[in-house]
Amino acid sequence: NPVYDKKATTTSELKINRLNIVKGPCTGKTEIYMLCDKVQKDDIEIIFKRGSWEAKAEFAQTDVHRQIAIVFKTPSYQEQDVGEEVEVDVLLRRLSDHMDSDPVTFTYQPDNTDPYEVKRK
Amino acid sequence: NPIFDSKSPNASNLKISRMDKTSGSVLGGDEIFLLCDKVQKDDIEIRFYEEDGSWEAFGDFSPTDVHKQYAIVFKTPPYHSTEIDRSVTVFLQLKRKKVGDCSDPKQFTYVPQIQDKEEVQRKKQK
Repeated sequence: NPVYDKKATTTSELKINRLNIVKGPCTGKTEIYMLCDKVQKDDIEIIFKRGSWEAKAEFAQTDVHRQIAIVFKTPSYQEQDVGEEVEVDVLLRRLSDHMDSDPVTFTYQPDNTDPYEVKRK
Repeated sequence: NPIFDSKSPNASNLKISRMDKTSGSVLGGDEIFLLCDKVQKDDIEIRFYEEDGSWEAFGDFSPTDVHKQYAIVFKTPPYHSTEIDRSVTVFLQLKRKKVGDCSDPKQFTYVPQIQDKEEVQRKKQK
């Protein structure tokens, strides 16, 4: 007999529960552990977004742990030389039905903090 | 895929898959994300220990820090001596409270509080 599961991962609500790191350089490549509600490893993307800019986080299917955690690397921000911190949205996106989760915030930091604090002065 | 022998009473299916950090302060309190095979939130602990059995301590977390049975967010315990000159490597493992069975261990390195102590002393001597 088929079992109809309201919590099926193909239709359930996407949710990000927790990130271990919420700040990183605008050049990307920060490794982040995300805890989330159940996802399908072959049907999920992590999107970084601000205004019209969007980029995908980098991970393999083997980085999806038991459907409830994803280890990924941040994409680089659209500008490589942000002068100050920039907050962006991070969300889960299911490929099959284009459903997005609620966003959480990630902060891109300038790559090189101004060594002589010229800008601050 | 691993095959677990469920008929062997000593076989543990506890397993640490991945941790976001494998080193931290000798003072403890570092937050670690640990991904694991299935655990029960009320029947699991994270045991830090020295191989010779001279010391053990437990990771600090509440049942709500166990995420969907497959991940645990916890804080490291302090090492028994906070006055260490060099990094010390210990082990940690998952342990079921009731049955007492354990996962294979992973290494964890405690780093001295002031990392450049030696260098400071070297400069003082000059």
